[in-house]
Parts: sequence; C-alpha cells; structure tokens
Amino acid sequence: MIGVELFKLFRRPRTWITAGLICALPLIVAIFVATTHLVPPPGQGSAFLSAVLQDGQLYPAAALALVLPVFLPVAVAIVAGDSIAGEATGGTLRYLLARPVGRTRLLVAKLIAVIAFVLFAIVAVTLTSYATGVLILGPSRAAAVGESPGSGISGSIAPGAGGAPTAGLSAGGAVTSLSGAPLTVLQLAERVIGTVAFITVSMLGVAAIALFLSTVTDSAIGAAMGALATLVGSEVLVTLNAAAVVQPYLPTRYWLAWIDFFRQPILWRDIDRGFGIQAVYVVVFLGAAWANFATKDITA
Amino acid sequence: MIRVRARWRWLVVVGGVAVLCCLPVLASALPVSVPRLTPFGLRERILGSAPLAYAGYAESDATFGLPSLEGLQNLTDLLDGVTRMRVWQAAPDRWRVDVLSDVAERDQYQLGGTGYLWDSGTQLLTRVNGQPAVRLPQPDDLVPPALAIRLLNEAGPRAKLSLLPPQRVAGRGAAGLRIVPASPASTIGQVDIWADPATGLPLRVEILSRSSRVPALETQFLQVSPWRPDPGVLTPRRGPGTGYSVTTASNLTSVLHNLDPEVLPGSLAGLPRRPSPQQYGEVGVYGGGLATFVVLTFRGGTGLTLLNDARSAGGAWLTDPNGVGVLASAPLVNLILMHPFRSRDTFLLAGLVGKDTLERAAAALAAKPDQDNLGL
Amino acid sequence: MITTRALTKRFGHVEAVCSVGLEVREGDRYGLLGPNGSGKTTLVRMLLGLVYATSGEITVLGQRIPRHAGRALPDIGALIEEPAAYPHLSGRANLRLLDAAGPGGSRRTRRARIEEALERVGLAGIDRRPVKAYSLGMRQRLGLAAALVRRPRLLVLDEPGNGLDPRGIKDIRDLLIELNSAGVTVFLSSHLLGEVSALCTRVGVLDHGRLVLQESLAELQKPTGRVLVETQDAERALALLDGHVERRDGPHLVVRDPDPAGLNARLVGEGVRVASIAQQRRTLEEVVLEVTGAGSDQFGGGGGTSPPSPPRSPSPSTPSPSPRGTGHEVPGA
Repeated sequence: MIGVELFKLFRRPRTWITAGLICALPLIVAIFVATTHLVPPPGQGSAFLSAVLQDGQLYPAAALALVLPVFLPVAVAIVAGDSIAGEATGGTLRYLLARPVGRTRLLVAKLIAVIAFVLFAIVAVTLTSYATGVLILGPSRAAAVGESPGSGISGSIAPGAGGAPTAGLSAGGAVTSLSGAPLTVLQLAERVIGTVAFITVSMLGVAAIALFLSTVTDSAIGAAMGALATLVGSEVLVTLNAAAVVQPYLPTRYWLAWIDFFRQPILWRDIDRGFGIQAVYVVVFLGAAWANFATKDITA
Repeated sequence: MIRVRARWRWLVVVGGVAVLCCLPVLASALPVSVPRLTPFGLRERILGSAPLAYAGYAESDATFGLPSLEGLQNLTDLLDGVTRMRVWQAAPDRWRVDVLSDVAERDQYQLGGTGYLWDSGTQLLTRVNGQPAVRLPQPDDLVPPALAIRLLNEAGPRAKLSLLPPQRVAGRGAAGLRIVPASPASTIGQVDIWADPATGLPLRVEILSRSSRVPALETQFLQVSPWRPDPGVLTPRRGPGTGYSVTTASNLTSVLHNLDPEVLPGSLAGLPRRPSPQQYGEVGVYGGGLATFVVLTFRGGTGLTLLNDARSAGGAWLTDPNGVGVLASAPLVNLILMHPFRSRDTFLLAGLVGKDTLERAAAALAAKPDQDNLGL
Repeated sequence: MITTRALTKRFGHVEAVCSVGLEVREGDRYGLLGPNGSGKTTLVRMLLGLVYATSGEITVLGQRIPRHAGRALPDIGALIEEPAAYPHLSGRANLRLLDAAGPGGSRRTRRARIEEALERVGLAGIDRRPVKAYSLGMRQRLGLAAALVRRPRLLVLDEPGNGLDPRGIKDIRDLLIELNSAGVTVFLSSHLLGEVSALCTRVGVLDHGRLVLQESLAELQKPTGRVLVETQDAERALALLDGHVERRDGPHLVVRDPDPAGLNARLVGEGVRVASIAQQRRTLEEVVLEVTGAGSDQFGGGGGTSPPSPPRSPSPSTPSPSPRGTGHEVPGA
C-alpha cells in the first residue's frame, strides 16, 4: 500500500510542479541577490540572507528560511489535505476500501506518502539551493568589514600569535556559524541534515492537521485551507504577548528553532521542544483522523 | 455497534489529549519543597555561589520604560523587552554570554582581563582590551547569578531580608529570598531572588519598583546545570569571511572625558558623596547600595542639546527658581537634566532614587555657586 | 452468498434502508431494482463495508460485514456507482495500482490477470493514453475490468449499464451471463427495468428503503390465466365467449382462460378470424408498479426531486412487449 501511495505521489504531475515552484523561489532570490548585491540588514529579514553574499555554501540554510514560512506549509497542506478528500472526490476512495484496504492502513500509507513528499521537497530545495549558492553566489569570500591584516585570528585565540586573517578559509570550504566559529564541511553536513529532519517533522504537524481535516470533509481544498487557517492563527498568537500562556503549545512556536543548528554549540532547547510539540500534534491529529475515518460512512 | 466503536475511539483520542494537556499543569502544580534555611543563611549561600561553573539558558523581561535613545539601541533593547541568553561560566572572570535573536546572535566572551565581542550581523569579532571602570549595563548583567549577587552586595547588610515561598525554576525547587532596601530614597521596592538551596546558585530574580506590583525586571533560568568548563566553548573562534578588530574598553570614554570638572558638593539631598570611579574624578556618585545616583556636568552646548533631546523625548519641565530642568521618569530609574541660570553648564542626575530625592538634589545643584576648577 | 437480516441504516432522522432481509444465493443473477434515492446505493455500500449499518446483520461469502470485511472483499469484484480512476494514469496503471493496493492479488499473475480482464470487457487493445481521455463508456468498461481482475466469486455491480450504448449494454450482459455460467454470482442494482429483466434470474425491489419484493423472475412472469386475443370479429368473439371476456378495446380482447391453444381452436372452429393470440404474462414493470403502491406513478419519488412522468395505464389490457436491450425506465426514476 505504501508503495502504491508513493507511486501515485510521484506519478502525479502536481508533485513535481509543486517541488519545482518551491525550488524556484530560492533560485529567483539568488539571481536578484547576486546581481544587485542588496540584502536585508543583518539580523533582519530572512535568516542567513545577509550571510550568503559572503559564502554561497550557506545558501541552503537561507533557501530553507525562504520557503519555510509560506511555500512549504501551503504545499504540505495541499498534499495532505488532498490525501483522503481527494480520493473521496475522485471516487477512488470507495474502490480502495472495497479492494479492501484497511482504513488505518490507508491513513498510515497516506501519512508516509506526505512524509516522502516533504522530504523530497526539502531535499530538492537543499540540493538545488546548494548548487545555486555555489554557482551563482560563489564560494566563501573574505568579509568586507573590519578586516585588519595582521591582527586576524583564526582557529583558536592565541593571544599575541595573530595568525593569518584568512587562515579559516584553508579549512576546506568551511563556513561560519552564527556564533562566529567556523564549521567544517562535516559539521555543516550534519547540521543541514538536522535541519532537514527538523523541518520535515515541523511539516508533519501541518500534515497531520490537514490529514485529519481531509477525513472530515470531502473537499480537499477545504481541508488544506483549514490546516492553513490553523497555522495562520498559530502564527498570530505566537507574536501576541498576551497569549504567552499558550505559546509553548502552538504548532508554529518552534518552527524557527532549526536556526539553532547553526549556532556553535548547537542550542538544543527549542529544537527538542519543536520535535516534542510536533510529535504531540502528529499523535493527537492522527488519532483523531483514525477515530473519525475508521468509523465513518463512505458516501462519496 | 459501529457507534459504540466510534465512541470508544473518540474517547481514547479525547482522553489522550486531556492527559497531554494536563501534564504541564500537573508538572507546575507539583509541590516544591526546599530545606529550611534562614534568610541570612540563604543570602550567604547565594553570595558563596559566585565561583560556581554552570551552563544554562536564561530569559530576562524588562520594562524600564526608557525612551529610545539614539546610539544606545543595545541598552534600550536590554532594558525594555525580552532578552534571550545562553550562558556558560567557568569562573567569575571566565564566561561567555550569547544574546540570541531569531536569526542572529551577539556573543560576549570574558577571558580574564580580555573580552571579545562577536556580532553575527556584522560578522565582526572585536577584541576588547582591559575592563572599563564605568560602563553601561550589558547582557551579562542580566544573567540571574550575576544580577542577584550584585544586588545582594549593593543592598548591604542593613537591607531587610525575608524568606519567600519556594518556586520551581528551570525544573528545580528554588528557595526564595526577599530584599527590601534600607534606604527609603531608593526606587526599588523589593528584590526577590530564588536560588538553588543546595548550591546557592540564583535561578530567578525579580525587581519591583515602589510604585508597581509588576516586576520592572524579571530574569530567570529556563534551563541550567553544573558545567565542566570546556575551552572549546569559551574560546572565541572565527570562521572564514569574518572580520576582526581590536578596541580599548569603555563605551563611555568619549562622553566622560568631555565633562566639565565642576566641583560637586559633598552631599546632595541628604545622600553623601562617594569616591568617584578611577580616572573619572568628574563623575559624582551619591548615596549607596540600592539608592545611588550619579551627577555628570556637561559643558555649554552639549548640555543644552541633551536638555532639548530629553524634552522632546517626553520629559517633564521642572520649575526651579535658579534654573530650568527636565525630568524623565521610569519605574526604576529617574533622570534630571538641570541647567542653572547662572552657568553655561548642565547637570545630569540619574539613578535608582525617587523623583523627590533627585529633584531636591537638582535644586541644590542649581542653587550652588559656580566653582569651576578652571574658573571662567 | 449475501444474506442480510433486519438491515437498517439511518442518516440522522432519514431512514435510507429499513429492515431489509436480502437473500442472494450462489449462482444467482440477482437484480436489485429501485429508483435513485430508494436506498440501493446505501445498501450496496453496506454490503461492501463502506457504510456502517445502524442495526441488523450482513453476511457476505460467509463473513460478517463489516467485522470480517477484509476476508470477504478480496473475492468480490465491485462497481460502485460511477467507475473511478486516477485520471492522469493509463487504464492499465490504474488496474495495477488497485490490484497492488490490497490483498489477494498475486504480483506474479497480475499482468496476465489485468490483460484478461481488459480483454473480457473489450479494452484489450487500449493504448497508454490517460484515463482522462477515455469516453464514458470506456470508463465504465474499465471499472468493470477492475472488478474482474481478481477473478471474483461474487460481482457486486451498481448501475453497470450507465454510460454504455445499446451495443455496450449487450456486451456487458453477455459477459455477465458467461461469467455466471462459470460460477460467478452476480448481484446488480439498477433503476432500469429492462436491464434487470433481460439479465437477472432473481429480482428484489427496493422502495423507500424497504425491500418490497424478492422473487425469482420466472415466478413473477408466470401466466396470469388470461389470453390476449386480437380479432376483426370482436363482436362475435364477445358473444361466443360470453362471461369470459374481461375487457375489450376495439379488436383487442382479454379473455379469462388458462389454455390459449384450446381457446384458439374454439374460436377458429366458430369461424372467428384470429389475428393474434397469446398467453398473458405480467411484465416486470407491472409487478414493480403493483408492489410499489397501486396508482402511484411516483415510484420512490415521495414528493422528491424527480419530475412527475406522464401517467401510464397499469391496465393489463395493454400488453407491453418485454423490453429487451433498451432501457425502460421505472416511472418516476
């Protein structure tokens, strides 16, 4: 069943168009940034966008920050919202269940297909944006600010030693973490993988909500919109000081925590909580989807 | 039959949600018990925790109500709003504090007499030689242990101490201590500290002004643990593409070296003058403990500019027979700029003392005959 | 093969199916008649475990539904309302996916089974074009092929003739009769009287959710004991058969007599010119109209959305030839 769902997912033109659009946004941004060299001031705007001018290798992180707030959740909500409701509208749901496919099995297979889609989209963004970053924005460049020859330090501080200011570059394509310390290629790969895992899990919460709504309504768009409305509501509350009491339990509260992978050392607190809260949302909404779908009359 | 099954399934789901929702409530409702300590014993334990090595994550929430001052954005950010900090301390003079924002961070390292500042926005690592005698508040001042020990020391032995009910902070039971400043002139109504009863490490600090029930400053650990110092964390390193520069300490030098060396009286508003910080003899420090204020004397144009800025920032005019002044008042800090009619100088008075006290001090300065060291 | 007892389904306050006791025996070609909205589809869905009954019991292929639906369903081929397929995939890919999705379809024989099913429904030569390019009739055939892929013991078909031209309907009917003679039990629901009477051996009639009739077709269509006579000498025949003529309509007479051959001999013997003579049998339409309420031309309409059809005379004096091949709609459907 899982194989069938994956086949359906990847034989569907929509999957490829969506992934292509998600990958296109960072590409467009990269082209503008590379031609104009205009980026938001550091610490404002999209994360890492100011850093990529100095190092194209960080562009996957910037690209993920670009697609995470809107593109990715919308795509995931559409795919997950379509999963049951779309089959119901197309009439294929009744044939699948009469085939027979167990209802719980179908739900799990659908969730796994959504996970596959999220992973596919994120990995596609990561790979294309890495290529974009290196090809269009170029590899590491020396910073334009504060470079004072002779006084530079690299590696570790050895007072009075004052090594070559560009020694950090010799570490072989290393990049700079948010905390200033260099990251080796291996560390960077680890952290990008961690980021991909974290964003995938973050999207699973969205997927679970959309999947649940997809079992409630026969309208795929309705389910997707419902999930997005939940996210928008959550985003509003996250920025509202008065809602501080409920903030730790909102699905989008820890969405940005993947940035903590790029601190040195990694700040695990929010990442752990992000994983935890998404696990709770997945369990709760899958449970609700199971309770609803497994006892529902299929009349579509 | 299917209805029964549906109902049963929904019961399982709703029950699971209820349990999940109750967990945080139950966790916070767990009773906290701490060993019995006297207020004095707790104070000694807190003061003794200074050399502890720890690592943690703290958040401070401050509402000082400062007007936004040009060039002092970092300070107003610190004293108004939430500051998220990662802290590692190996020793009182070997630590690192990272101030986090969503997409950036500013790290401060202290390695003995040398400090380093890293700003991820400008990608610049700055080495700071020496430690300034006078400086503005920094993020590391808001870390609960540093703030608690400083406040306890400033409050002195005459402050009134009492125990507070224990609280759970960063998952630990913490014993509470309330400090009420001895001097009635202080703007600080009370300082509440919760500390780990075993080690004395302060976990949470609240400062309340006399006029408000809402803390003007609240800082606490959300996560903290003992730490085996790791040089890899405390040593600043910089990656490719970053900049490096060296400066000398003191962010106030340029301001303080332009002061008028006015001779200041030995006491103001009943508070005695204390020794000035080294190298800054022109700075007058009055009072003591949690009721301290400073007096700076600005020359001619600088002072008048400041006066106008303070006025346009929302300060209130002060009526005085001997001069013209502006009062800017915040829950914990009061500030007066006073320009006496008889002089070209402008006095700046600021500190943790009440409005009345500061106004009396300003009136006394305005009435004082001009005694410039250099003469006019 | 299919047994239901006191099967009832309520949607809110609406009773869609009410205390139905269906019985489909092995080897039957069972036709469930009823207009749209009479509860046919709900009943079929309950048999397949898609809709859960409010009360009552269902046994299909010896398995309790819905509890053990997973054991019965692999041996059932189903066409539920319209056929459905993933429009961007080819017909073959659709059959492959559906077969791979559930149990009971061996991977090794899949290709052969799919080709066989396509051939049976007349789609053997179909190319790789996506299903969205199919005509309605092709989709219907594909849906039927999907039901046949696993060589089921029981076929449950909801409106299998939809969208097919007369030729297609004939093809499907021949296919179903062929499958039935090979041992496949066929259960089909339809609102088309003709389709059912041409194909089925047993008939059930559903009206407002109630099973108002369940009988073998032969039993329903047995002679009524009347003979239909057409003669130019109607007056003479009337005089001759005094008391036995139940109705007269011009040259048409309805004569109460169980023996048409004897009647014919008698009339001819008396010099009455007989243009045609035939034993009267009730048509399925008449039966259906009778059991669904005399004088009602709103079969199952219940004041609903169906437009009223022109009034028909239910009189047995207007014999309607048993419709074959073409669909005679149940009035009001």
